[in-house]
Amino acid sequence: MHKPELVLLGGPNSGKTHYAGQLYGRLQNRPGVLGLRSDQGTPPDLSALAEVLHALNEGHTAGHTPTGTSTEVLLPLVDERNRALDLHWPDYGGEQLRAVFDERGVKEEWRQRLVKADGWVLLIRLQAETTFPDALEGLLKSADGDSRRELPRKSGWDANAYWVELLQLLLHVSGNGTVQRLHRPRLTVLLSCYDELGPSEATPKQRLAKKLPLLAAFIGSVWAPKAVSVWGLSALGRALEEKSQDEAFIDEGPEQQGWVIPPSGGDPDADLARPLAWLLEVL
Amino acid sequence: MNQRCTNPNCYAHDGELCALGERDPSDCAAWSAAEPATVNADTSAPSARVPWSGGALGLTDLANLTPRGRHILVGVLGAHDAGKTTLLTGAYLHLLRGGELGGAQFAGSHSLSAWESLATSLRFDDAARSPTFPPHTPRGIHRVPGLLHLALRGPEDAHRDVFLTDAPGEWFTRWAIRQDAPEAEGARWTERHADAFVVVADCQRLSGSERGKARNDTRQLIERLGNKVGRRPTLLVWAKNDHRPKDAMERAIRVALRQHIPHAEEISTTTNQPETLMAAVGQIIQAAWKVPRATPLQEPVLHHTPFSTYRRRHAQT
Repeated sequence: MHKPELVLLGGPNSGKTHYAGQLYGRLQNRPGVLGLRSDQGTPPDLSALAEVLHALNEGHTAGHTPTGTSTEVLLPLVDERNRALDLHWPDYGGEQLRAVFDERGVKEEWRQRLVKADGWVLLIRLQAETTFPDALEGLLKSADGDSRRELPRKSGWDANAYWVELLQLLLHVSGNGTVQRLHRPRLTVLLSCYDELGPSEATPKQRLAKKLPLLAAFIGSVWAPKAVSVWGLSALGRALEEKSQDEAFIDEGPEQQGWVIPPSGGDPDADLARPLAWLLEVL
Repeated sequence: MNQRCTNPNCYAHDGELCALGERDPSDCAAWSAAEPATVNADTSAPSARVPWSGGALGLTDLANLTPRGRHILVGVLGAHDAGKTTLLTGAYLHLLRGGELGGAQFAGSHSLSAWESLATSLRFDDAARSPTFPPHTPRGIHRVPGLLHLALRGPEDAHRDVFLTDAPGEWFTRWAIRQDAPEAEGARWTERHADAFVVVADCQRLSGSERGKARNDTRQLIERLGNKVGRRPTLLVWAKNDHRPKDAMERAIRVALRQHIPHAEEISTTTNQPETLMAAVGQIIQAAWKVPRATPLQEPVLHHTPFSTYRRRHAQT
């Protein structure tokens, strides 16, 4: 049996844990393209998901995953063609990804995981990313030498540059060169909290290119077109608060909430496992 | 980490990758030969690192990138404050908005920190300025002379590493006056190694009160470059073109250009139209994208015999 491994890349508050919790609920209660294998019963260790499952059933969000957390849930899956897969779903504090950027290196454990992974899942919450498009004219004038006034953009990187540098770091330490287009690891970009962006006719890829054009260009020129896909993801379907008591979540169950927008755009699809199925289909 | 590696080209002590590729520096002979220092007990430190700092690249940093494929080194020449920085900043900001350079798409950069510094318009730190490119630029926000890197993916999926020099104008001013000036080491390095050149003429100075001196500086730079440029693509950029120099002034510079670098092209840029900045950088990258063919050898005809005729005809097929 093939045991695909995925690497989940998402910063703090990008919605990793909520996606994991909702994904498990879907696999258990509303199987779609992927489901849990019935012969295995409930996965042996659900402690990584315990808090989020509890919180969502109560109609509120789970707390922040502690920075030092690094756990894994084993999901015994079966696809539509009855092929069995064992998926190791990692969960960790999003600050660890920021530390990779700050320290310009990864720990051995991370490196091993990156090297072995068949697919990378990149979670980006577009609404929370900081870019500096408005400063453009001012920056050009200032660089021209006429005026050397202080600009508001003194610290911090543009989110475009941050994500490109982070991907470059991860590709380098995992031994992936970028001169030839990459076919492996396949890359799924999940634009999390997609409901925050409001309705639009544009595909998720177009929305990524609008908000983070440099990152979109980088992904487009480094990965082979067939090895990358961009999805919209709203794991909860709406904004919940830490103290809210959403009745739909309590009464209908969290597994009835949340959706993804496929790469080609269109209507929301309730099957949250689709992006993973896309990553796994050729493995 | 107190220990310093004995290999002068290695910066493992600054937290970067061992130059010889050891994941743990203590496995490297050059590291072990260094003075032992206090044992670093921090086991949570990253073990896999990258060999670039994100700052402008130094000369030893080039060795990490040049073997991986074709590359283009563009020398950006011009006097202090002529608009070199603006040109580079404009190109980066254009990419940041999803644009292309010379028909090629952004495919990475090992100097993103330096590009970001440019975008925040940090000036060269005068105290840190040395007359040549440093061998390696450490991490930090200070702007130092160096090479800015862009990886680009162009037509037919071709990949190029493009390096643009980001250097103080004084290097080139000194070099234009005296070729072997000690302060112009970086300018000489640029002239020897660049695949293409951009010469920036400052229209604001050329139309201002110091226009006579500006004309002379620009002409001297063109003349100096003309001695060495050969067939390498060259672009004269009339920067800050919202200021218009007098016709005679432009004519004098054009005469020097035609005389010394006859194949040079020209373009005008102004910050009022940011697309002109990226057009200039795009044009020079496009000109240098394909490696020029070598001049075909002309075999002299030494004597006319039937045998030579036979050979010659088939030699050309």
